[in-house]
Amino acid sequence: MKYVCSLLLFCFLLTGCVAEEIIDEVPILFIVGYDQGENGKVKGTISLQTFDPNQEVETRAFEAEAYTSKGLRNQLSGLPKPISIGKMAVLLFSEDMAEEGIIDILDSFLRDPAAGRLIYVGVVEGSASELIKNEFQYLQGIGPFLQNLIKQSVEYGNMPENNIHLFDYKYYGDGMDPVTPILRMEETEVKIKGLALYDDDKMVGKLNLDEMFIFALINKSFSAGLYELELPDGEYANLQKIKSKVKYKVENGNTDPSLNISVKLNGNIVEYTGEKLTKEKKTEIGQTFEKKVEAQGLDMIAHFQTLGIDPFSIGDHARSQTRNFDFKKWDERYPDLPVTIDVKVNIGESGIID
Amino acid sequence: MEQKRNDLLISPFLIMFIIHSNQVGVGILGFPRYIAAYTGNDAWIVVIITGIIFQVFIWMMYRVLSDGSFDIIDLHNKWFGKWIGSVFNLALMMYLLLGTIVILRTFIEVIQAWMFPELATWIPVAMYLLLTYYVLAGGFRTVAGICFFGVLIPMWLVFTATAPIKFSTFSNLLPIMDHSLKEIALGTRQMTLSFVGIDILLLAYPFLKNPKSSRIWAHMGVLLTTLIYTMVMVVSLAFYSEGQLQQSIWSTLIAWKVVELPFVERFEYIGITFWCFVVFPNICLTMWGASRVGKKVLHIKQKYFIFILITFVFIACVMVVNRDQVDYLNTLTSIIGTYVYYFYIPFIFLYSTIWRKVTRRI
Repeated sequence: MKYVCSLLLFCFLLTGCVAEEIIDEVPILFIVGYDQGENGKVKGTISLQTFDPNQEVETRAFEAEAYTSKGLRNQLSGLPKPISIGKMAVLLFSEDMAEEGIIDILDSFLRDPAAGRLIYVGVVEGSASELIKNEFQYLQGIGPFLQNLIKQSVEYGNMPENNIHLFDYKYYGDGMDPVTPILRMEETEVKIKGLALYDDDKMVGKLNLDEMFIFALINKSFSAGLYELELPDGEYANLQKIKSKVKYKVENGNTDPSLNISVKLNGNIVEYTGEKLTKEKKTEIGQTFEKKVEAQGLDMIAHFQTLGIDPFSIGDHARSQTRNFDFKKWDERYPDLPVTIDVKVNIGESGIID
Repeated sequence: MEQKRNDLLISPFLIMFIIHSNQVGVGILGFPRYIAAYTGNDAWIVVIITGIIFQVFIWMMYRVLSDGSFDIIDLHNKWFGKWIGSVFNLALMMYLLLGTIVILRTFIEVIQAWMFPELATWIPVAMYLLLTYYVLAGGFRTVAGICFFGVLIPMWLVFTATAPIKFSTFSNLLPIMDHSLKEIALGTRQMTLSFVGIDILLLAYPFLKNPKSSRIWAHMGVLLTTLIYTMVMVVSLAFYSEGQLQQSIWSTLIAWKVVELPFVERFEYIGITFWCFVVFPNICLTMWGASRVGKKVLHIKQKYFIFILITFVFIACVMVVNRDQVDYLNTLTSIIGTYVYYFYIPFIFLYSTIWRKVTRRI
């Protein structure tokens, strides 16, 4: 009798207590794009994918307008529910949306336990909605494609590490400002166009691809992909596997601050348009690269100082090197902070022939 | 005090697992932000300081318990007489029960916040308490076994701390010792809640074989806790910026979001599931402790008294309905815990030292 009773009890305990979600039936969301709608509303566009074991992956785009990000979900009435956002990979914002500030929308994803922290945040030149609706014939769907595109350019390309967590990190942290990639829709494809610069959560500027590369090298220790360097004599050299080692040194952080950035670069030459790659030529290439990084780096920091933003986290470096650091005083002094950059380039291999 | 049969006793090294598993509970999933609120980037120093203080408490407890094979219930009766002693013992029981309720309810809140928002509180409470009854019915040796596995099975989770490192900035820890002594002291008081739990030693002591030689293992238990907490704290400080950490209620769980595995997108679900193993020994130990008091003070058979306790805990857990109440329970436990450790334990330490001197003279 005892056993029968306990068995019955456990049968009762084993029944499902909450709503079930079956992977083959739940539409999965990979990408959401936000544009400015009418009367201060937000226009959201999503691309859903359903994975049916018997059929091909089905992708569809939907569009709705509401005041909040979660409100959009209610508005998406023409669509099977519930939607799973566990695999959310990319959030896109149109440029005018990003200029208004995006933290409110990011907040709804940061707050949701189902959402990840490796979601990429990107800015679209033009309309995010059009980019998502245009399928571009990408077989895996636009969401996973963009995720891969950004991931590859962080891992093997010249883009600094970025995702929703790092955006949040820099938004709430003192003495730093976030960056995100910029994308542009072209006739048949989507391209990365550079980096968007933010003041808190409002986009205030852009870096192009060339500047993005220099930014990534100076920002923190990094290993970049390929870079084509123009030499003074009109020839070109291609550098690969460029690794940077960066040290920020802030002196007198509280009283009369000054900053020195030392950048040590290591790279291989994989292509050279000139005649013979002699030792002298290699040093010349190295020196050209040094000068370029230094000059562009200084320009970039001066530009950031006039914008009053700090994507290099210089303020945070100052905090970590100064006792009883005073952020108020720092913010006043930051625009006039004297900066020097020391770049040292070491050219390693140059291929298997001379 | 009857001499216990040898087959009811446990090996001295198990006290390490008992102490460690009673210390680590749900607190570890979110404690960094409370400490960092006072001491910012120096919070990891606070963890180590609190760890050292608790080593001293272990030493004090062993001094208190060192003569004979008594637990704290017998000692209370011996020191204060039957009536006042019983008051102390019942207060101890209430304290242990509060511990059970806090940890069980807080963990269920985590489950509700992360995994099953629609899950009614009473279902997981009932599951846990039924299981607890099953373990307690097996006696202290079974409880000790649960503690052993409750530490060993989830131990692999420490390796997941490597995943957030990719996105971490370790210069967040600099400059070291940039906070005043007052801030460090306030942080230490805050940290006490995460370290409480070694009080179970006061009840488990007579169940140890060669209890005197087990002290080293008790110290090891606290050391293990300190190491794990320090690791979690350092990773949290490096993974979050200061403002961001203050926003994150369950910072350790959020950090699990960056663990990437090919077969699961949200690693927290695995983490929380394994956390059931971490939480379970806590509930068993505190319930066991409370039932000991019932047996020795109220003279009710442990078998029946556990039923009363389970009903009580069940009702208390179901009555807590929202985040604010859970928070209040935690604050309350934190305050009581602070008093228990910083006043009660030094007090019994001094009292027993004086008692020993006085009785020896007579």
